[in-house]
Amino acid sequence: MAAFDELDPLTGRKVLVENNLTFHEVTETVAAPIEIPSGRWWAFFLASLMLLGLLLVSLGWLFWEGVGIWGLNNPVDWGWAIVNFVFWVGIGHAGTLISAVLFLFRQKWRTSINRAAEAMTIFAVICALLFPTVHAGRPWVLYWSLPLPNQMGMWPNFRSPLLWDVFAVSTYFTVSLMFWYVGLIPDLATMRDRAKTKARKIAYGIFSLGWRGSTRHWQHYEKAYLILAGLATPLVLSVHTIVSFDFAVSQLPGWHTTIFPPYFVAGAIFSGFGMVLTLMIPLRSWFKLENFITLKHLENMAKIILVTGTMVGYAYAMEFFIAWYSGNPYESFAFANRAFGDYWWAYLTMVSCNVISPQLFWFKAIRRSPLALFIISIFVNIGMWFERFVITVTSLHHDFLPSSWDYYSPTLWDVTTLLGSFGLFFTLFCLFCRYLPIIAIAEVKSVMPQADPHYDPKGDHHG
Amino acid sequence: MAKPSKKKVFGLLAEYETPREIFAACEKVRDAGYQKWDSYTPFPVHNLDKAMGLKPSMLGWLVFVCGISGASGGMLLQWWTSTIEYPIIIAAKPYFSYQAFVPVTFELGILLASFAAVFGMLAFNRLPQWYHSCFNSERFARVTDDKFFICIESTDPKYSLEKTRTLLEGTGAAHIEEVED
Amino acid sequence: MSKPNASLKAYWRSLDAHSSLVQGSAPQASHDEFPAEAAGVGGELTQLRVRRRSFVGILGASTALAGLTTGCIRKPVERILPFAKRPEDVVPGEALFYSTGFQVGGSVLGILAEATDGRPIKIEGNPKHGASQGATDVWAQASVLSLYDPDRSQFPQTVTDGELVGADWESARAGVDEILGAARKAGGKGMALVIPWTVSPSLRAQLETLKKNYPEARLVLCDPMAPINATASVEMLAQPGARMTHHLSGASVVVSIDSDFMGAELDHVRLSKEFARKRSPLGQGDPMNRLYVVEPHFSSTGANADHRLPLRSSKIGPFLIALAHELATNHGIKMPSSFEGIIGAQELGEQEAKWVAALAKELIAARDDRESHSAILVGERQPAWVHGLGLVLNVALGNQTKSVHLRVEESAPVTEDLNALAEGLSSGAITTVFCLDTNPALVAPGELGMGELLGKATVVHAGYHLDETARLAAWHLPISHQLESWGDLESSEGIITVCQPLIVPMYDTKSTIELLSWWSSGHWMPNYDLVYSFWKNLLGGNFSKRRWEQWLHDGIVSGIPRSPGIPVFEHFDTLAEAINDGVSKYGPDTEFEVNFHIDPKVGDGRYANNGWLQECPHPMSKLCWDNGAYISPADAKELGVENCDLLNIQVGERTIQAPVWIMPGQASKTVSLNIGYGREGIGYVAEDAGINVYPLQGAKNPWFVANSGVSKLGGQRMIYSTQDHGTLDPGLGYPLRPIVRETSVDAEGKWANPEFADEGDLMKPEDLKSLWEHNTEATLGEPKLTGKQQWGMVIDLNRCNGCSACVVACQAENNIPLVGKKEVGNGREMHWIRLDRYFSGWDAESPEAVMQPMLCQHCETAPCENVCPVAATTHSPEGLNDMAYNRCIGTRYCANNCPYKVRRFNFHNYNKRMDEDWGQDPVGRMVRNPDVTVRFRGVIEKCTFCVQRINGAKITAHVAGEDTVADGVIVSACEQVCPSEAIVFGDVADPTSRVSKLKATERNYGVLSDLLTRPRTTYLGRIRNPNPELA
Repeated sequence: MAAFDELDPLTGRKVLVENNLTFHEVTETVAAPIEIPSGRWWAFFLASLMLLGLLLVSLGWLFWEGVGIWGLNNPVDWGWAIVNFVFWVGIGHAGTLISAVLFLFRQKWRTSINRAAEAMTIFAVICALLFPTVHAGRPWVLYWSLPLPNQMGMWPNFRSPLLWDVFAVSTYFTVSLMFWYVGLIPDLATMRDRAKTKARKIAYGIFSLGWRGSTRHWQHYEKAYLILAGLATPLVLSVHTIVSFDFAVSQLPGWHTTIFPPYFVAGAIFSGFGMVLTLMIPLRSWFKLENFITLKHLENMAKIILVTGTMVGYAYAMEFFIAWYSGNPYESFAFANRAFGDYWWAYLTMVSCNVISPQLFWFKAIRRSPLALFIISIFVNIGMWFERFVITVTSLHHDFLPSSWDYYSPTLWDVTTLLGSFGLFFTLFCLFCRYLPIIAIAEVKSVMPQADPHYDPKGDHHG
Repeated sequence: MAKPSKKKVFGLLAEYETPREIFAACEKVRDAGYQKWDSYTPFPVHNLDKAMGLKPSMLGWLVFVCGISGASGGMLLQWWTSTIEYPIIIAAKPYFSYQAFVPVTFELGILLASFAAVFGMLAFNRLPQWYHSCFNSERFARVTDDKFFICIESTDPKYSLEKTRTLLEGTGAAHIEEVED
Repeated sequence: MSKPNASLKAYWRSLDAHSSLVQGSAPQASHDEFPAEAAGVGGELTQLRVRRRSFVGILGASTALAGLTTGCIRKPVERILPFAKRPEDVVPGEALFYSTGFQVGGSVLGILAEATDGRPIKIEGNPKHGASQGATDVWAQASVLSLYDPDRSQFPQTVTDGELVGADWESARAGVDEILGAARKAGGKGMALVIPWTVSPSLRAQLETLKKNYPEARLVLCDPMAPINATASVEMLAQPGARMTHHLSGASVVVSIDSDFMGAELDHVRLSKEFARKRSPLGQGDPMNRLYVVEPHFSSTGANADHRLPLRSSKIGPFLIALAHELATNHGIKMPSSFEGIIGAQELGEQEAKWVAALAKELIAARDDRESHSAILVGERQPAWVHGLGLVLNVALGNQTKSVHLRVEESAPVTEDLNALAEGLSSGAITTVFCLDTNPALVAPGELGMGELLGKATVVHAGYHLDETARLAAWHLPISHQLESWGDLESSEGIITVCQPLIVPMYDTKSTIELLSWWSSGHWMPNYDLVYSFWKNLLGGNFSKRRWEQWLHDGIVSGIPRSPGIPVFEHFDTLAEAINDGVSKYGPDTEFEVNFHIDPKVGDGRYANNGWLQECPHPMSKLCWDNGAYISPADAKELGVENCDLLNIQVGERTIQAPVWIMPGQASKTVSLNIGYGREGIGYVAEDAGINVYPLQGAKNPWFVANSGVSKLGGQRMIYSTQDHGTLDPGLGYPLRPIVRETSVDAEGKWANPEFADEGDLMKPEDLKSLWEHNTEATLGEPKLTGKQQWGMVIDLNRCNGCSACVVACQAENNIPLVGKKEVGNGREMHWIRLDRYFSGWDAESPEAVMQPMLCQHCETAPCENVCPVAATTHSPEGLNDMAYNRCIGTRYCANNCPYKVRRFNFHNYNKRMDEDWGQDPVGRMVRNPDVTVRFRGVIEKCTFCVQRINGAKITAHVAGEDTVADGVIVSACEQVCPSEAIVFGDVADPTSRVSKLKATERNYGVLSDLLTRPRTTYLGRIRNPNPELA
C-alpha cells in the first residue's frame, strides 16, 4: 500500500481509489471475491454456522423451559438479554450513519465502506431484534404489543417505552433494509451482466429489477437516495434515543437520567464504528481491497471513534456530577455503587475500554496502523457491551429497598445465547461477502476522477 | 445502406468510452431536438440529466405527502385507541398522553415517507422491467461496467436511420448498431 | 410408598370392595378434577387407583358433611354418594365454613375451616374462640397443606422379614390385638403408651380406661412443643394437674425471661393479641406497654422489645434470682422463708446489674399503679425452677388473677418423661411401646439413644408419616388428619371445642381417638360415635341434640358447669431445692453454650414435610428450607467463619456439623440451633432440608447445654436467606434510608420527635406536584377513580411482630406456588407479602430490629402500569392496581420499575413443578383456592389486596341491595390471620372507616411516597418505649 496518499488531479485532495484503476478494474476487483470461492471463506462460514447452531439449541431450551434458565432473579429482572439487545442495536448505528449522514455531508470517502457497513447494520439489528423477542416470558403472544384489531378489543399501551422500541427498531430495520437494497440495485445489475451461470443470471436478474443504467432512472434514483438519506439521518438518531428511554423513562436510580439519549447515541456511533473497523480491516486485506478501503478511510473512522469515545467519557463523568449535584441520596448512591459496589470490575472494564483506549488515536501512527486499529476496535466492542451491562445490572441489583437487594450472575445459557448471536451475525455477514458486492461499485466509480465529465485523460494530471 | 430486417427496429444504439464523450453527445442529441431517446451509464454522470434536458424529479412531493399522512395517522391511531376505543386508567396518566405518543408518531411518519421514496422511485422508473430492447445488444452488457450508451428510439418523430446515424457518428461514438425490439 | 406385593394387593382388593358402591357412578367432578391423571401418575397404577378412589370418597364426604354448615348439623353417613343428589347448602364453587379446633403443643386454636366442593382449602381463626379470637398462626395456616401431603402414610404397614410392607386394617387389628392381649394378661406390665400433650377431654377419658384395663401400663409424654417445664413448676409448688396461663391485656410492664411468647410458647396467638392491643399509641399521650426481653437468641419477641438483653441461657436463671434478690432486699418484696440463703446476690456483668436495678423499679412501680400491673413470662426453654421462681415473683407482685391465672385440671393425665421411658427400655422394664401420634425416635434427646432402645422393644406406632419411629415398629398405623377426624380440644383457659371433620379420610387412616379407644378398651368404633357418646354420657340429662348442634355451629362447648380448683402453693422448699440444685449444675460460662429452639416454621419437625412452612422465611434470619448454627458476629470473627461455613459442634461424644449463620443479637459464646430439620425418608419436601440437631440434646436439660466444643470444620453447606441486606444503611457512607421510621415515647407519653413520620421524605408531600389536574374526567387530565369505595391498607409497625402467619395465609389464599430451595437461592421466591427485617446497627452485638411487611402498595400513580407495553397491569376504578395474568407477555419491565420490588415473576412453570416434579399431583392440587387463577410460566404476579374477597363481598352486598360494603366486612387474608391486628384493610374514601381513621393519625406515612407514587398502603411509624434508666 502507498506510504503517502495520492492526490486527486482535479480537486487536489487525497484520492479515494488508489493506483489509477480504470472503471473496469474496479468492477473486476470487487466482483472477484464473489465469483471465485475461497477456502478461507468456507472456514469462517462453517465456524459461524456452528455458533448459529449453538444459538438455536439455547433458544430451543429457552422456549421449552422458560427464562428461568438465565441468571435473572427478583431485583434483577433484566439481564444479559437486554444487555445484548442494546449492544447489537448500538452496533447497528454505524452503517446507516455512514451511508446517510456522511452522504448528506458529501463525505465521498464513505462510498467504499458504506455497503459493508450497511450490511453490518442490518445483521446487527436482526440480532438485536432477537433478544427482546426471546427474553419475554411468553414470546408466543408477543404480537400483542402491536396495535392489531382483536376480538378482545384490547390495544397496547402507547405510553410504554417498550412499545416505542417496537416501532423504532422495526422502522429502523425496514428503512435500513430498503436503503441498502436501493443502493444494491445498480451493482446487482453489474453482477447480472457479468454472471456466467444460469442460476446467477436469474437470481441477480430478478433482484436487479431490470436495471439498465438509464439516465432517466438515475435521476429519480439519486433523488430517492438523497431523500432516504435525509429520512434515515433523524431516524438513526431517534432509534438509540428511544432505546435509551427504556431506561430513562423508568424511575430507577441510575436509569432515570436525562443525559441518556445523547449519551446512548454517541455510544452507539462509537461502538458501530468499532465494529466496522473490526470487520473491514481483515476484509480489505483478504479481498485485496486496499485500493478502496485506504488508510485514509481507516484514519477517518479512528477519528470518529476518538470523538465519540471522548463524548461517552464526558457522559460518564457528567452522570456522577449530576447525581451528586441533585442531592438525591438514592441517585448518588446508585452511581457510587456502580464504581465502588459489587460490580466495580465491570465499571473498570467499561471505563478503560471506552474512555482510555480510544485516546491512543491522538497519535497518527496508531490511527494509520491497521493492527493497532483492529486491537483497539475489539476493546471498544468489549467496553460497550460492559457499558450496557453496568447500566442494566448495577442499577437493578441495588435500588430503593435494601431488603430486596441481591446479586446477579449469568448462567451458562446466558453465555451461549450471546455467543450464538455472534454466530447469527457472522453467518449472515459471510453470506453477504460471498454473494453481494461488498463495495458499492457504481458509487465508487462516480467518485473517481475520470467520472467527472470535465476530466480529460489527455490533459496534464499534475498541472 | 442496411436493408430493413424482418424484426421491428427499436432504435440506434451508440457506444462511448468516457463520461466526457457521452456528455457532449447528449448535448448534441438534445439540441437536435430528439424526444424519445435515452442515455445509459454505469454510474450517475454528473448533470447528464441536464445535458439531456430532463425535467427535475417530482419524487420529493410524493414523499412529503406520505410522510405527513404517516405521522398524523400514527397520532390519530394512538388518540383513538387510548381515548375513544380503549380508555383505561394507567398510572393516573391522561387518556390522551400526547407527550408519550410522539415517538410512535415520528417513527410512523419516517416509515411511510421511506416507503414512498423507494416505491415511488420504482414506479416513476417503471421498474421492475426485466425486459428491455437494449438488452438485445451484446455490447450493452458493459453498460453496468465501463461503457456509456445513447439509444435513439425508432418511434421518435425525427427518427430516420440515415440522419440519426450521421448525427451519432458526429458525436464520436465508438460503435453504432441497430437494436431490435 | 412401598412397592406393591402380595399383602398390598390384598389391601387393594379390600379397597375395591370398600368402594364398590361407587362403581360406575364416579361423579363428573372427579373427571374435571383430574384430567391428566388417568393417563398415569408416576406410572404406578395402584397408586393411581387409590387416589381416584380417595377422591370419590372426598366427594362423598362433602356430600355427607355439607349438613354441618352454619345452622343445621347432621350426622355424617359413612356412605359414598355422587354429586348427582345435591345436598342442601352445597352450592358448587361456594365456600362453606366449619368450626373446628387445632392443637399444636399445649396451644389450642378455635378455627373455621373453609371447604369448597368438599375440599378443605383454608383455615381461619374462630372469632368466638378466646384462644384464637379470629386469628391463627403459621402452623394452623399450613396444616391444610399437610392434609394433601402425598408422602403421608396411607395404609397400615408391618414388618415382614425385615422390611415394612403394606397391610390392611383386618390384619393390622389381628396383629396388634395379639400384642395388646399379651400386655393385658400381664396387667399392662412392660407396656408403655407414648402420647403427645393431651388436652382432649374424650382422649383423656380413654386414657382413664386404659389405666383401668392396664393398671401397670406406663404413660409417657413426648411432645417438645408442650409446656412441660412451666407445668412442672406449678405442679412442683402446688399439686398434680395445676396449670398456669399468662394474660397481657392489662400488663403495662412485660418481662420475657427467654420467652418467645409471640412465637412458639403456650397460647402465643392470644398473647400476641393481648400484647399488641396495649402496644399501639395512635396519638401522643396514649398508653403503651413496655417490653423487656432477656434471651440468648434473637426471637421475634426480642425484635419487639423496648429493651433486649442478650444473655446465655445458663445466665438467665441467675439473672432472675438476682432480680428476686433485688426486689426482696431493696423493695421489701416478701420471699418465702425457705428461700433464705438461696435467693442471694449473683455475679453479674455491669449491664445485667443495671438491668436488675431498673427492672425491679419498674415492677414495683407497676405494682403500685392501680390501673396496671406487670407480667413476668418465663420461656419453656428454661428449667422448671426458673418458671417456679418467675411464678413466685408474679404472685409476690400481685399479678395473680391479673397477668397470671392458675387452675387445677383434675382430668390431666399423669405422665412420665422420656428419660423414664429410656430407663425402662434399657432396664427391660418396658418391652412393648405404643406410640400414639408421637415420634420418640426422632425427638428424644440424643443422649438417650432412643432409637437403639426402641429397636429392642416391640413398637406399635400410630403416626402421620412413615417416620423414624415407624421404621422401628412391628406395626405402623396411619392416623387421620385433624380435618378428617372428630375430636374435642380444651384450651389452656378451659374453652372446649368439638372438632368436626370436613372430609372423610382421604386414605385408609384412623383418627387417634379411634385407635386409643381400640387400644384401651378394644372398642372398634367410628370416631363420631366416640366423641358424641362421650359428651352425651358426660352431660347425661342435660345433653340435647340442639345443644350438640349449637356447639358444632359455634365451635365452643357451652353450658357445662365447671369450677376448676385454684392450686395452693405449699412446697416452696421443693422449689428452693430445685433452684439451689439448678444453679449449681450450670457449667462455666467461658465455653460455648449450645441452645436448642423450637423452629418458628417446622416446629419440632412435625411440619418438616410441609412446603409452605419450609419456604416461609424464618422471622429473624429469613432462612428458608434450612436451619443454621446461629452465632454472634464477634464469635464468627473469632472462629474465622462466614455464613454457610460448616461448624463442628460437640457435646460429650456427640457431634454434628452445621452451617454457620451469623446473627446479630446472639448472646456471645452461644450457638443456637433450631430443632425439626434434617429429617430423612419421610417425604420429598423434608429431604435434605436442614440438619438434625436432636442428637446433640442432653437428657436432663434438652434445651441448652454449656461447655461444648465449637470449631470451624472447613467446607460449606449452602443455606439461603431471602434477605441479603439486613439494615437500612446502604453503605458507601450514605445515610440511612427512611423506609422504616421510628421515634420513642417518654414517661408522659410525649414523643421524642412528633414529626418523625413525615421526616425522611426528599420532598414534603405538599411540595409534590402532579403534572395534571388531579381526579378530573378530562382526556387531558388525570382520570377520576369513579369507584364508590376506594381500597387502602394501613400496617402498624408497632403491632407487627414478624410471626409470618400472613406469609403462609397469603400463600394458601392466593395459590402461590412453591419454588424450592434452589430457586430461593436464585432469589426467585414468590411470596406476595414479605416481612422485611431490618437491624439497626449491624456490628452492634445487641442491635434493635424492626419488621416491615412489604406487599403491593397499590400506588395511585403506579410506576409498573406506565411501562407495560400491553396494558396488562392497569388501575381499577376502586384504586386497585390490577394484574391481568392472561394479558401479561412477561417483559418484567413492571418489576424493574416497582420501587418496592413486590412484583414476582414465574421464571419457570412453578405450579407444574409442584404438581409433577414434587409428586404433589394430583392430590396437592386439591388445596388450591378455586377463586384465584393459578398462574403459569412467564407471567408476573403480585398482591391483589385479595380482590377475590373484595368482589365476593361486593356481590353479597349487591344481592342484599346495598351499593357499598360495610367497613370490616372485607378482610384480606393477611389481615384476617394477623394475631396482633397489625394490618387493617378498608375504604379510604369513607372517613369513618378504620383504615381512614388510622391514616389520619400522626404516625401514618407512605414508603417512598416522595416518588409521588401515592401508595394506598401506608404504615404507622414504629414507636419505642424505652426506660430512661437503661436508654
